[in-house]
Amino acid sequence: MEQRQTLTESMFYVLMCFYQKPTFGIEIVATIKQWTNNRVVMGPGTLYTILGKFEEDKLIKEIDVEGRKRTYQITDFGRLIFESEVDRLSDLLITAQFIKENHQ
Amino acid sequence: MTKKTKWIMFEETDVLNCQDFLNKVSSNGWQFVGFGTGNMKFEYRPGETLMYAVINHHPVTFRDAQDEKNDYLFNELMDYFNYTLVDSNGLFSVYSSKEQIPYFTDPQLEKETLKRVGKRSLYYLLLVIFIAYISFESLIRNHRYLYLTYFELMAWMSIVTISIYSIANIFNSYRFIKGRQRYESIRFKSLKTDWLTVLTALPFIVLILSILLNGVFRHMDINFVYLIGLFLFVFLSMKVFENKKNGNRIAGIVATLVGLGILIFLITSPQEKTYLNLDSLKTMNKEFFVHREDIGDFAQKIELWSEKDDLTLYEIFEVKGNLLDEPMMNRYLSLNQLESVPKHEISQHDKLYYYIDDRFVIKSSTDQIEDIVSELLKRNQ
Repeated sequence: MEQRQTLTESMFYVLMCFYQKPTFGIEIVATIKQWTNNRVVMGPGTLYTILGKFEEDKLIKEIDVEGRKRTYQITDFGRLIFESEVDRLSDLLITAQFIKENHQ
Repeated sequence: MTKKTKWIMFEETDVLNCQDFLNKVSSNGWQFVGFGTGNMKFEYRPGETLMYAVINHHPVTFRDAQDEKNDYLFNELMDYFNYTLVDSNGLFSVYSSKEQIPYFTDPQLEKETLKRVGKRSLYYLLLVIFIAYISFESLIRNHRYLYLTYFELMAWMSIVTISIYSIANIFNSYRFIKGRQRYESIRFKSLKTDWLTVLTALPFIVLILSILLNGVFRHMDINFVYLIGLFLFVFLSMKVFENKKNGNRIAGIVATLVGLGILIFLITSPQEKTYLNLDSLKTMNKEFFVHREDIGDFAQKIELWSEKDDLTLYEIFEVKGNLLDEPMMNRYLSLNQLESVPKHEISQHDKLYYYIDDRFVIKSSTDQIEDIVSELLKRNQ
């Protein structure tokens, strides 16, 4: 994977979708809208770029093409990246929570 | 007025400025309806606000090798967000949507992606500078006269302007690469024609014209019709292949290939037809003035050193104005058994004394020259 310290919020959500199940473009948009109650809306350029980037970095792979619908599945490497990102964010949250509780 | 045309010249790095501009004028009721040759067309449709996405053809995605028009995923997503292609000019594709969702919603990703735009633009500008350098080199080496011709002057001015313009744009490309993509551009201030654009386009046209016309006027054997035909071919090819649904990609490829063909033609053209003739570089000469002296009020004697094989002193008589029309001059030359050589080849010959008018160079010797001039003057009266 290219030298990237963290995933952006959009990237993280997209990877989360794939972690759940194999999915495709517009289903990802709908899922994320639903999960975030419309807070995170992804433009076509963002999603297109993320999917291209993830495929290039081998976080996902294409498993089915049906007309214009391309379905992708997360790879083992993608799972590893997602889980390590979750761990990193969990640590961050624990620390943030601790600071918040002790400095009120 | 319900229609407006904005003349503008685009750089690849204008992608975001252009997008911001279209969204700004759209909120004022002016909708982009298409590209013309060197312009953008707008229609006033009040009450309609569209979201525009301006996309560079290749570098905007990570799938550079693929044609975005054939990329099903791209089309699926654009359709889902109701983005439809408005027009394309070979450099940009402009999409619009009634939904107010921007094409890029993740600034970090947008920044990373558009770095590629900056790099691509940089390569292009370096190519332009390289071509300007070839032209510069060619102008220097092919300069044979003691003065600059009008065409040389035009070419010089164009090369200098193009170089300054390209160097300035290199900074914009660098800004893109460094992730600072938005910059104040006066070209996208309003719907009015950007006159600076017209002015910056001018040197490119003047350079091409000056090179061609210089070849035409200096060497009458050049097939001018052939060149005009070549340009017409480029123009018509673009029109034939222009397909808005395909985003003018084929037209762009054809134009690039033919443009390269023209450049190669100019560079490799035989018989010194143009300044961009590398063959003529071999016969390069540098000339240094030594002395200039008036002979009466109709001619002057010029002495100069020419550096060919070694330094040779030339003594040249230059007459102010043409003395005779061409048939009479030819008759005079044959009657007196004088040999003439093309004027531009003067410094390729061995040391000789020359008599020059605006068209002819006559081999002669010093003691003959004054007689020749006076006789020519008599015949002309």
